[in-house]
Amino acid sequence: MNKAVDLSRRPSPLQQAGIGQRDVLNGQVRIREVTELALTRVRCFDTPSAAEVPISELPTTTGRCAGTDPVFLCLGPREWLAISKSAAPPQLLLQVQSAVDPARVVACDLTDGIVALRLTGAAAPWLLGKLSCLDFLADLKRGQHCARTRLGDAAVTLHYHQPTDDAWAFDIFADRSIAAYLWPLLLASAPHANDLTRVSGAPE
Amino acid sequence: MNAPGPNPFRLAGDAQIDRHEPLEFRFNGTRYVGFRGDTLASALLANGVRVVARSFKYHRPRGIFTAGEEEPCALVETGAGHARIPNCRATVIPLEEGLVASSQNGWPTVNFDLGRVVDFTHPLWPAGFYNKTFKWPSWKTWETLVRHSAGLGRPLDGPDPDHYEQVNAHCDLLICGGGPAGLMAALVAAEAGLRVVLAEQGPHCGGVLNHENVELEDQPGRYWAQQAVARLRDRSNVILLENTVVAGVYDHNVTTLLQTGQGTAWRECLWTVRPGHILLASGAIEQGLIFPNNDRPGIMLAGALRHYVNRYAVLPGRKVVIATNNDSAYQTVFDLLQREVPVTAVVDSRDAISPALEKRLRMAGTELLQGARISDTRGFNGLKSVRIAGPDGADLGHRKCDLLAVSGGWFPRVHLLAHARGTLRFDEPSQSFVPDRLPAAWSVTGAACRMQHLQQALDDAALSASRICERLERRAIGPRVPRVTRGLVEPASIDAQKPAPSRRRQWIDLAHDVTLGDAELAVREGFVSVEHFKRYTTTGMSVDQGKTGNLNAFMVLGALTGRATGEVGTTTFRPPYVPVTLGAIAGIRKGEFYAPRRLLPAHLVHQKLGGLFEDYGWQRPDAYPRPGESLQEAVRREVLTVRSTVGVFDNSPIGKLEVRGPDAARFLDRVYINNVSGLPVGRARYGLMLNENGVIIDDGVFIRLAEDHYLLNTTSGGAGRIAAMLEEWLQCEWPDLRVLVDDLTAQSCCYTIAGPRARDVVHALGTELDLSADALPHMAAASGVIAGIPARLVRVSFSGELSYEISVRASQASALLEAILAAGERFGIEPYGIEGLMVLRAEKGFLHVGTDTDGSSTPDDVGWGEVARRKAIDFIGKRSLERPANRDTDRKQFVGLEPLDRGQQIRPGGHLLIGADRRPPGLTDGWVTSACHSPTLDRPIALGMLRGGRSRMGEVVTVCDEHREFNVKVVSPVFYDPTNARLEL
Repeated sequence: MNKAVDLSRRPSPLQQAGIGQRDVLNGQVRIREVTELALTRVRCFDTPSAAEVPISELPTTTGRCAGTDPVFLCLGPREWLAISKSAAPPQLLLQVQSAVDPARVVACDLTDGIVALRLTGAAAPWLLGKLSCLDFLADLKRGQHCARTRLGDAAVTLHYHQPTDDAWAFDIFADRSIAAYLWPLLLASAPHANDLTRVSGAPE
Repeated sequence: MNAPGPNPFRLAGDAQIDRHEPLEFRFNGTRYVGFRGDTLASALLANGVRVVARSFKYHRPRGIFTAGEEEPCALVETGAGHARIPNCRATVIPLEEGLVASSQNGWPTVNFDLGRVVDFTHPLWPAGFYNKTFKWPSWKTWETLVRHSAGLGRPLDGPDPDHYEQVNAHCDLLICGGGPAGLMAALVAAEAGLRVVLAEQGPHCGGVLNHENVELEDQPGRYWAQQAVARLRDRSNVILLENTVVAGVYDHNVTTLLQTGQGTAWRECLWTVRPGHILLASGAIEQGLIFPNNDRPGIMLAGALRHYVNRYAVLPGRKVVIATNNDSAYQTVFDLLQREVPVTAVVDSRDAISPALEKRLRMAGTELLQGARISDTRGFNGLKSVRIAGPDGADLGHRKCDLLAVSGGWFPRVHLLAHARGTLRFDEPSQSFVPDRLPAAWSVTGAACRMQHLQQALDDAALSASRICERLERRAIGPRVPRVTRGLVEPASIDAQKPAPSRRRQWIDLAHDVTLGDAELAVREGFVSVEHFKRYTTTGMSVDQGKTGNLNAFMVLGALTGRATGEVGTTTFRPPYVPVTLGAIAGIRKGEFYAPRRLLPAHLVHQKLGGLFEDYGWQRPDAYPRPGESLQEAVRREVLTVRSTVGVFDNSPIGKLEVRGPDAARFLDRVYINNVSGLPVGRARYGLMLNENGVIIDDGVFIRLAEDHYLLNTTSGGAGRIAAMLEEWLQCEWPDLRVLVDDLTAQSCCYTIAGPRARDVVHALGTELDLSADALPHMAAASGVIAGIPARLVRVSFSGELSYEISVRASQASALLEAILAAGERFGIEPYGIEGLMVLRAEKGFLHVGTDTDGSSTPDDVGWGEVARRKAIDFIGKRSLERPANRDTDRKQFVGLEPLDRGQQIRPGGHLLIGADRRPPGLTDGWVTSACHSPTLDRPIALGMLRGGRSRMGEVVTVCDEHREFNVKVVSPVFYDPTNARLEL
């Protein structure tokens, strides 16, 4: 085999799409690719209470989140997305698999199939509001939560959370193959989102 | 009276324009000057431009009739080149430095239009004339001419260069209209903490406060409006949108707002607002009067005249006559008198008016003609005089005038309410339709629900907002309603319009040139339903949607049919309220954002390899042409490489659905026509999926990874669809099955290494897996490390050659592809694209679902009937396969086709005819589904569906392909390696 090929390379979805700058500040919104997250989908056959997962309280209402690392997003009935910042994808999968009854719960690693983008800043809710019909300004008062929706014509999962102590963020999870559509769509929508921050007064 | 300078019709005195900032603009090539704050209409009137447009049908000269979005006449084109915008209402175009505008529908000029020959021959063109006149010799003879003459404005002849935006918003309360009532309600709701969106169609909130002589708390009304706006802008719970029209209301009160950009990078922004409650505070629209020749330039609504005088200090004439059927027009008289503009006469159709008004008029020396009406007007390209008839029809003579202000009453702007399925009722006192039953979560206030007095409107708006707050569990705590210290003459005691018979035409709908005569004709011909009447006469169907003419049309129809106007009813007002550009509807969704582009994980590697990309739901290489090589040549080279040595194909988009659970085998037995539960672990099988009708919807290989774990490969475009279908069956029909389906298509990439040297290449990549035919035979799968990467290896072929599919994580796609190319270099490996794959599978006779099958193809049609019949247990579509039509032996069946002439080109789509006597047109016996020139066999081959095809092997049938006819022989669809020897290597 030709040793010149570097098999350890694992480019991010945006890198694979040939996008060089993956962290952009446009006025009052910062858009960047997040590559340090591991994602595992967890689904169970039975009622949620039967699922044994490695957190004390698994959210059972669609849109709710629980835990810190991993955090579990309830995406629908008997379906969660586990997200970890500290564990590598195989570790997170093993962590979940080892903690659940395999007869009741199925976990599968999604990390490689997903592009994760993070929006922060005052214009972030407006940017999302340009591309999706959810109420993102109300989101700011709801604390951590999640939703499945569309941005433009792309199916995405949104996670509103506090990645650092002083900043809230919207994380966007979408199919890896559409990274080259979603990234420029967000960039192209950002200038108007900045304009939109001026249509109402400053928060009291 | 008039100010000196470039604007001969500009008045001195107070105005909401900046006289220190003159703006130069061009209209029909002539340079004019207006001021900051003007609209195009006010600037044209200030410059004495009377003829602005030509009418739609008769090419009659038309001026400016209104001062707002309801304008029916002054439609102009702005901009130039690709930036042209047709059918703009001059009354709402803000004047900008360098603005270029031109008239429409007039040739060679708007002042001398040869098209007016239609006007002079008008008896030939009544309503519905094209249905009657152009029947001989046929409509087709005239269609081109009529279509050329019809329409207004020119469409763009290139891409729209403007940029459009869209945004979604949510609120507790959407207030439609930023007039006094809207502002008052917004203040109350905002103070109570509701999330409020306030949409005002004009450039400034305030509505009538901006152009009427009213005072609140002893201050000009507009000052209060400015203070209210400032307070609202300071609040984070208020979105205040000016230059924004509420265009439509849809289900669940989803509302679209069209915002026009001013000094922004975008031209228009379409808002989609989801409000908890809607408050309609949209005011009312003044209606015109019906009298002979009521369409001349110089005739305008009385309210519009006040607007031009008070707001823009423009008096569009020298001698003014006012005609009315209600009190509100008298406000125009008093506003003009305040500006020291004399009014020649007031023609009031009522026999008596209030003594107070009469006294004020007499004191000003204005002639008052009561019980009188306008019986005719004169002036070729503009009004020169009016003729007046007395109560008994007696001629009261001419009055010279160049400006006639008319008022026929007021029609509340209830269109949005109608969009939401609110109902209207006719109100006799106001002679208009007013809101009756409101939809859920709706309120109406102000002039939109016939509040005639400003104080009444303000009080009601505050009360309405308080009630909405209560409903939304908020407490309204203020602010105080301002006191109206100087109001308007309100439109009390309105006289119903009764157009007098006349030989001259009387316009009902100025925009679409609908006359009283057209209405009479429609009624004579039986179109007495208001909806039929509208469609026959086309009244209310133009750009303005009849905003100044609909009410008159309903009244006329009532009078002509002997019914009360309320009995006639209204037509259905539908969205949009104002024209919405296609650009605003499309927004950013054009070009690269038209639809998501899906890229292969190794897209950049394919680019470097020279891939020629095509969109197949994913961007995939058709082929990899070398410099100077055509696509056909590249495909031929790639096919021959696979047949002779080895090629690599990126199969990453293939659907990868993982099905897990103790009932997975049972579930999949119901999904495929094939036996799934009998498949050993580590083996793969080709299968077909049907819908309930027994029609093939997808195919692919399924692999048993464990007893309770399967991997389903679907067609590349079918992964999402099939995953959703499986979920639906699981959730809706078989919730008892313990099965989960995961679409993991994007999680991994997949490369197919195909050709006689495929095994050598996989060996060269480096793997501990035993690749021998005994250990890993055709249709077997294994997992292990390949090229140092954890991978899944499956022996499956869509080319007819020895073939391995290697799947690894998507992030390692580029590395693996480069490794494969490097490892295969010494074996002569080359990448091949979709086109090459299609040729390879056609040579082998492999079915391509969606290409060789259609919405009627069953398993038996494609040679899989026996498999389906042998399966004892039930599966989706099984029952339908038993239907007689699906068991007919004469159904179209999958066959191979060989042209008798080896040089004959054959294309997909050609019809197949059996028998020498068959000729098109007629019923077809089948068609060619796939065709190519086989590089391997060096002759053209094709696949097709032919009636009773399997029993016709060796027969010759005719292919009819457009104008070509040639003969082909029916053969087996497997042209290459019929014994499968190469698959089993």
